[in-house]
Amino acid sequence: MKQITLGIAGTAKNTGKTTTTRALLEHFQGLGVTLGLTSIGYDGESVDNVTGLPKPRLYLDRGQLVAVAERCLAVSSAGVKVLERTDLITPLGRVVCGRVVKEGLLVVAGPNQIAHLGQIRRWMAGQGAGLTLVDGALNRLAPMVETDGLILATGASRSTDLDRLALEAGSLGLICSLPGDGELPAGLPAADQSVVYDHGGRVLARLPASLFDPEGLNSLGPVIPGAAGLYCPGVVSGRCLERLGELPFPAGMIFSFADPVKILLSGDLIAARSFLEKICRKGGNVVCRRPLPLLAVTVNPFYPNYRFGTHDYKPAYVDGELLLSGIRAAVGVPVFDLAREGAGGLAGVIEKLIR
Amino acid sequence: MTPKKVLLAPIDPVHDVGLKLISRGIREAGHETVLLQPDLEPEEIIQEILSHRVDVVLLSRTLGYGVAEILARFVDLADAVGVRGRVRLGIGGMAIRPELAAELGFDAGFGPGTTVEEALAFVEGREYLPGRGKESKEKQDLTRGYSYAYRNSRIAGLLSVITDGILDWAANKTSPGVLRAQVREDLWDVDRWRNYEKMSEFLAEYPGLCGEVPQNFYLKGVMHPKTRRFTREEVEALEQYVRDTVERMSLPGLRHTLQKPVVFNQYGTGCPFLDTGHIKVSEAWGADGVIHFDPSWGARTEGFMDGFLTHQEDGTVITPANLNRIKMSLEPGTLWQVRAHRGLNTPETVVLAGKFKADLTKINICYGALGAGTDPARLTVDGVAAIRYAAKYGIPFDVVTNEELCGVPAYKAFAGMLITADLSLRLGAKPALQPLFCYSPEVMLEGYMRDNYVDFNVAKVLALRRIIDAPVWPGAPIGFMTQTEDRVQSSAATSYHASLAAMLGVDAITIASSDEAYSGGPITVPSKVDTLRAVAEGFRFFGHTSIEPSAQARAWSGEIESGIEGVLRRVADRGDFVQALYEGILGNLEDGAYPGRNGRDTVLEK
Repeated sequence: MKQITLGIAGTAKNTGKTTTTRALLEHFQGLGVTLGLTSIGYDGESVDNVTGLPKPRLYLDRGQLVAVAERCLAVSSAGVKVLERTDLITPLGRVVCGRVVKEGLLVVAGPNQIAHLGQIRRWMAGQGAGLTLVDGALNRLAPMVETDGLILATGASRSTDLDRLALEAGSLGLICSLPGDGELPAGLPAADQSVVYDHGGRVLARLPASLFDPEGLNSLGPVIPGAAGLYCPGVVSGRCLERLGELPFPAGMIFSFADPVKILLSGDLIAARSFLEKICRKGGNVVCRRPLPLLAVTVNPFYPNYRFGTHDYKPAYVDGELLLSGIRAAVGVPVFDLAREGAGGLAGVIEKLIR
Repeated sequence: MTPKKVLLAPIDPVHDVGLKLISRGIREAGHETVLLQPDLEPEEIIQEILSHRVDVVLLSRTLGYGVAEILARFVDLADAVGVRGRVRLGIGGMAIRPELAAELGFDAGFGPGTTVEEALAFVEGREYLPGRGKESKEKQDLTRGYSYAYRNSRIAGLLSVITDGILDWAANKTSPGVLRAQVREDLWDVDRWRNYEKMSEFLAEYPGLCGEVPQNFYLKGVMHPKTRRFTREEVEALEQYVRDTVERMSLPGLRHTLQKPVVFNQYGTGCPFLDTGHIKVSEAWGADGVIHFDPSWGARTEGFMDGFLTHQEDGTVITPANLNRIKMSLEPGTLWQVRAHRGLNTPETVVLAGKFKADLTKINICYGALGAGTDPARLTVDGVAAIRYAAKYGIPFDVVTNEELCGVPAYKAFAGMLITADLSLRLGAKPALQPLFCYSPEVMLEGYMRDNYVDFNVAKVLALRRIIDAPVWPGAPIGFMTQTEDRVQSSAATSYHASLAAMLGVDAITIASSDEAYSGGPITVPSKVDTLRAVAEGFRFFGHTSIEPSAQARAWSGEIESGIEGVLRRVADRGDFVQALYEGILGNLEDGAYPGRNGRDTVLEK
């Protein structure tokens, strides 16, 4: 059996990340798999920190591994034997790693940086976790590059415009499915700057590691005819992607990014998708050095509706059937509504990865 | 410490003045700051972080739905561009709490009321303790600086004569209450009691000096019908509640720039667990002190039970265990008053207050005898003993004048107060004068407050100050009978009276919850918070603004002073203070006062 780490990421708050995590916990705890659980946000609390509406709780059996901030333990009914106190500090105290010795509800806030999640992932693997679940936070994605794959939770809380939701989910799926290609021409700087290089691997132009300003790309004009590839180790903005798509690079140009998250953080998934399509049409290719496959999508028709009269939120819903069918048509991975279908289908996708 | 480079940015359409203040504080502490303009995109702030190579970023943003995602994306960008490992991120704004900061991916969250020092600690990498220790409180001695010198020599002379008479009269007298206090003082040791040691000598003596209810408790194990012991689970829950609350509460000040008045808030729901909750709320919303209210039947009962007991009606039973638990729940800087003023357990209450290290108590022979139902002779004997214990333990006390609420005119109530105060000074104790700030029957009948609530209350304070240099502590609570069941009105009335007290420079005030008179049961926390917030706002609004007494207030103060002198002369002429109480010189049936009957014929010759 393989050891894998899965990230449960969301497109927004209240899209069903913790519901997905809970469904997977319930399923795999029943199968006797040693689970690891952590969160890059704050999960398992009884009411939402912003809306005040009820939230799903996380119940853990004995034997499961967890990494949480110290103050979470005091408000959890689950008993945890601390095995390691890390040097990772959060607003809720130091992150500790341990094993559940008394079953119960757990509030989970864990490492919230890429490097910190990597440290926890290695600890979980060292302790023998078969499946480690990383519950997401809001729309956060960056730390998820430390996982082996993503489950995306999306729904009406992100937008009640179902067409837009489908388009975004499809775009995200497309970006996550970019081919992994770890090879760069020898001698290129790996991390601290973006570069344009020719067929011989010679650097033609140097740019900042992250590309935020499209004006900065204008300096590439003279080197464009001889360019064979562009490597960007940092984040690229939507406006830069748009500009890169417009520049007259030669056919067959390869655009390399560190991982899909660097494109997803452009903030404009539709612009990012348009860029991919434009490059493909020109015979070019967009690749990522480190892949982050999208394994499945879960949908949630719920959204908190703000009431201006009483300054609070009430639960509201979009048409669940339309939401499910729309997302299914837009993405190339399995899509589930866990509240209607249960966890079996999603768990089946993961079981295939583990075994 | 190496100076840090700190970038501050409002992710908001408008500038945040709090961020500007924090920026200035950080700069003054020797660090370099970069304050960005408002309304920048997360990407633009990230670019500034990269170009300035900062160590710390402080963002501010008012939270609303959808805003959390913007902040989370900012953190994601910081992580993805590779600065997250070396730049510490803090977020501040309305509704920001540590849990939310953790969810958003920040290193710290700063809610409303964050101080520059708190932000500076984060910048300098010192330990961040959210919500704790923002201000520590130190207990104030209300009597410090007062000489107790008389400014009205005629009144001083009359009081001296009356005090001589009281001491002569009481010299060879005692009572069951005095004897119990003596047994409690001599045979009951608080440390041994805390160690669960059985005090056989005490138990052999004490029940025989008690009335039926405590006797049944000690000899037959029978509880008072409206009390019960807390269960073990309830005790554990209380201890957990106190631990959790202390962990997250802060101790804000209530008085803004003022040094006084010290603000006392009452508790006494009947249930020490509820009381503890009220105490923690009082502390967390800025009260300086809390006052223990016991049930009215406690004043009519000879002796105390023991055990951690809850009571199904108003008033929290005085037992060693109840006082001990409540004492343990108090913050170190919170003043604690245990009232002893009115009943058959007055001296023993002072002994217990002393042994449990209460800061203040409350004693007034005249009010207890004329407005609270205790026999004048008995309360005079017990009052003298109680004052001696207060002097021994060094516990100051207020001398309340609640007989005004029965209808006794202020000048008569004040005469009684001054008699107890003078007696106290003679016995080495430290009294504080407690005029009522109230809409009393006298005021209603005479029309003293037809136009405003200010002049007559000012007159009272002026009159007392012309008589003696002593601390003044209006109560109890201030604004009595000016409040209605409308919580806004009630809170506003309390706030105005508190502000008046502050302008008069008095030493302390006692305030009630906005539902105190109309709760129909235990007072509620929101109502308690109402008045504390309202009082704080009053102090904030007026600051050190002073008030000039009106001609009317000066005239009334003169009338009160001469009225006091007249009453004291009649008492002195009568030559017997106790008989003066029975005969109504300090308040009669027509006024609404009547000599109490509890404890009648229990005074014993030694």
